[in-house]
Amino acid sequence: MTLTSLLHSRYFLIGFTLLAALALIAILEPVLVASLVGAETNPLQQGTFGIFEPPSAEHPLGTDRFGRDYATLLIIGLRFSLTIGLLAGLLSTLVGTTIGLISGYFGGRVDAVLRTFTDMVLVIPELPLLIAMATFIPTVTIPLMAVLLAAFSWPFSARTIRAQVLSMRERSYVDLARASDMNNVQIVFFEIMPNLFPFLGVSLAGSVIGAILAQFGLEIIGLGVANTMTLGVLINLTISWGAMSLGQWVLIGAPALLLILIFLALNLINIGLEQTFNPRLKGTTGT
Amino acid sequence: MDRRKFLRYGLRRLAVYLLTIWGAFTIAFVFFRLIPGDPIELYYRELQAEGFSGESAVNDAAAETIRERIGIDGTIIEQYFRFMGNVIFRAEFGGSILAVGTPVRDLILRALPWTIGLLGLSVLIGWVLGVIVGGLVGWARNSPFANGLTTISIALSQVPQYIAALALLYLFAFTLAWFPVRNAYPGTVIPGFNLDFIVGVIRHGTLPALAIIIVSVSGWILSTRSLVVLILGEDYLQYAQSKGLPRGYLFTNYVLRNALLPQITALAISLGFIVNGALLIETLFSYPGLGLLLQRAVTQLDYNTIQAIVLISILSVLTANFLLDLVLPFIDPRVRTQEMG
Amino acid sequence: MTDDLLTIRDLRVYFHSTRGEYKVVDGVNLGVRRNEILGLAGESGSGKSTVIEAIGRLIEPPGYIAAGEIIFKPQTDHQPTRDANPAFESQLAAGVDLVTAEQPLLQYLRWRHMSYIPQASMNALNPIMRIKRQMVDAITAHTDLSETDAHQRAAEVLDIVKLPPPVLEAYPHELSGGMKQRAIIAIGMTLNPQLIVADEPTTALDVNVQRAILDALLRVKAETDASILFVSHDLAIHAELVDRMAIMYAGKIVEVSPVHDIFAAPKHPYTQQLLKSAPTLGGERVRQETVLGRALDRLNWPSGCRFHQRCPFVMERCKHVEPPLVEVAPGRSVACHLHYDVETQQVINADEFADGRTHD
Ligand SMILES: Nc1ncnc2c1ncn2[C@@H]1O[C@H](COP(=O)(O)OP(=O)(O)OP(=O)(O)O)[C@@H](O)[C@H]1O
Ligand code: SF4
Ligand SMILES: [Mg+2]
Repeated sequence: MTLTSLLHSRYFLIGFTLLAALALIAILEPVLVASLVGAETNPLQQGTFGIFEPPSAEHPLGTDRFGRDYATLLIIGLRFSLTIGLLAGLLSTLVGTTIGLISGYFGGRVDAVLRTFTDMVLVIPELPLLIAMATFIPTVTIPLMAVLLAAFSWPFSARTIRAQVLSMRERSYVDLARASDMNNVQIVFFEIMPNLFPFLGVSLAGSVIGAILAQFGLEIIGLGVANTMTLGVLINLTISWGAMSLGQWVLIGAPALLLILIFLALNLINIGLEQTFNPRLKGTTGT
Repeated sequence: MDRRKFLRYGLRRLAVYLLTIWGAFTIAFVFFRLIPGDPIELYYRELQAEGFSGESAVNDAAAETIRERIGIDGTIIEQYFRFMGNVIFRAEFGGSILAVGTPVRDLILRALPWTIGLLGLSVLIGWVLGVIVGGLVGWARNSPFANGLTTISIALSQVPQYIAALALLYLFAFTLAWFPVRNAYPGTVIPGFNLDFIVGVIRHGTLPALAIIIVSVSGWILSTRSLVVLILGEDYLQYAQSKGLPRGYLFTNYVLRNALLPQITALAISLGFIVNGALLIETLFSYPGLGLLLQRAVTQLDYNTIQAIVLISILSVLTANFLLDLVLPFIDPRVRTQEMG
Repeated sequence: MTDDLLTIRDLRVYFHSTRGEYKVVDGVNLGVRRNEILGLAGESGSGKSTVIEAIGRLIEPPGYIAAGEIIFKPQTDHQPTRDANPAFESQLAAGVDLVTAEQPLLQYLRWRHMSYIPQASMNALNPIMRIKRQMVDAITAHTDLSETDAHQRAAEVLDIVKLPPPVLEAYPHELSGGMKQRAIIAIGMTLNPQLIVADEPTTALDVNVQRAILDALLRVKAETDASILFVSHDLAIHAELVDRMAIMYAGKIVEVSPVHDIFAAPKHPYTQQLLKSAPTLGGERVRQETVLGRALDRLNWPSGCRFHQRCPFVMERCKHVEPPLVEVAPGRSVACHLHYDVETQQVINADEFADGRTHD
């Protein structure tokens, strides 16, 4: 029933299509960049083109203050924003799911300890801590950034998964599995996991949003992954050279819009998943 | 409510609150010592890069002086007791690199009112508006107008506050020049209780506040609406309807009041997170609150100030939770019974 | 037109779904006379609560009233102390169709002339309001009583259901299930409405409390000339309390008779089965839910008589022709081909079938 009924959700379809389109652009980044500025040119090299060129066939979004093709910068930014977000999201979902599974499946004292821990991390104001870390760590690489971001966003997944496992544990197929002497690991992987997929989707989308948002916050302060162009870095850079007072609103608006589209796509997917798999929520998001 | 019972409950909560502060600060302390890299070395490297220091290598004696000044000298145990003693009993966060000679505490105290004023007020306004509108939208959930508003809210709630602020700033400050671009008040007025200052503060605060309100209101609308839709399906609402109560009374006393309880909890959490939320907005508007202070501290590698702001942000979350615990028994009879028997 | 207090004609309540319309109530005809207690019984899921909710106009989407009328005709000179609205009162005196009544009129007549005691009374009270408030708000909404008098009245009705005055100050979660249920019954009595529709008000209460409530209902009927539509699974309570009894099956009324007649000689084969499976007096409530009954498809009811798959007397005609509810003896209506020949429009004297209860 599940996958086909998911396709009935308008929210899911729109969100998924949008995300697929963004992901496609990110994946095709090398090809697109090569076609825009030529394969030999370093797209980040300053002074390749004239400055503040208006949009044209050659430069769909014009050029920036340093004479770089802006559309190219945007595509590169999209690629790295998505990459870091996805990496952090996957990591955080992995950690959160593991903790949620253990917590929900074993219950009792294990659950109590893990839940307290989860709740604690949940109330930590992540941005100041991330900023502190990013300030004093000499070089932040992409994997390290993903780890830092995931360190604070896993509780979301842990909660979602725990609640689901808790309700699933009592169901008959788990009892059946217990009776047919499967061990705990087998039960978790073969009986419980398959039913968690939609919720893994919700967790992943939520974590990716959280990660991109936190990363964006760091970049606005001027702390990001070293030497990496992301949408947040692009926005920060553009503001700092005064695009606002120069009236270059497209140069700020375009990366901002892309960020919003990423969030919107992921959120619509989440609304769709919840509508399909959590009937109690049906109609609460305003279909 | 029984005064003695409440007192006992309040004291219990206070004990838990203090204990959590101790725990959280300890974790924060450990966390700061665990950050890889030596802040002093980093600091020196930065100075050299900016051409302030002629020395080619880190001078041990000078480094030790700075270490002492910011309180990271001696063994880790010594550091811990000194840190806890200073922070908890004397609200002392050490000296600042940012403004040499000024204690970090003074920097914080100067910035804090701006953050609380701007963020606290905006969060509160957003909450009040969102709960009322969200309540009505849920109450009229099948009307096209309510559905339209819901869709708009879904879209708006996806816009990061910072980006909303960018848009407002560009439109109303740079293009239309209706509002100032930065700072909390015009440089020409004298801070104090005078009309120019007050008008200035309001004019400077409008755009950042608006950015926060627009985004947060849409979130509150959506969550309140969901709550109301759930309440509309409750037995007690159907029953109240069968009593022929006026619709307005039904909405305020049955629907809204029940939706309000979880939203008050959510508000407290939001208020606890204002330091978190202040960071970006304040840097955009150069608004002299904790966010701007943190940004400056980051560029100067000001260890103590960064540490202090992290502690304050944790403290504000814990304090909001503590206050919520104190308020909840007054507004929810179920909590009262549960907590005080 | 009869002078009954409430007349339901061909009421249909459907629930919309993507698979089609669930015809939960599908052609109910029923009258509640003045100053009588009418019992409504039938297996779980037969649609009793849905009928009750339709009378209160409380059906929520995806449910809706698809057809029919519910004529409510209270005697409006009944309660002179109310701050009555003459326009509404004269409308009511002439009889109002509750299915089409406008909101202001509905709001006016609710509680004043008709009160509702819901089945799920566990959650029927607002969890964050004192009982007192929830009683007084209904009183002040419908009368010009002062706050003090309203309190007075609230305490009075609580006393009827044997709840002490401190209950007024309590919150719902501080009361036991039985206390909540009694409080709700008391709230239903506050304004002496002419019609009380009560959906299993005594279920899950212990025998002493049940007794108190039955006494209270009988007293209300005697003192205020009210009528009560009373739903219960417990046939023993019906035997003791009600004047007439209606039996519901698969969204329809299959038999209506004076209670003594029904217990002495049930006419409809379903009624016979129901009585046979009845628990002993005052005993535990038993849900008369058979596997077959559960399997009935509300999207497509069985053709002809809906009981024909379970009926021991089924005839060929039963499978194709739906039997109408007709009066087959004085005061007794049945919907069954055994008792009425639809072709000749003749009542069949079928009393010999009454001993059908000994078959099996
Ligand atoms: N939203 C809905 N969609 C489809 N069917 C519904 C819906 N709400 C209720 N029903 C159906 O209506 C029937 C409920 O009827 P009702 O509650 O009136 O029965 P009842 O005779 O009062 O039963 P009980 O004795 O258990 O109280 C059930 O079969 C239920 O499945
Ligand atoms: S109509 Fe036929 S099937 Fe239905 S109850 Fe009567 S005899 Fe049985
Ligand atoms: Mg029922």
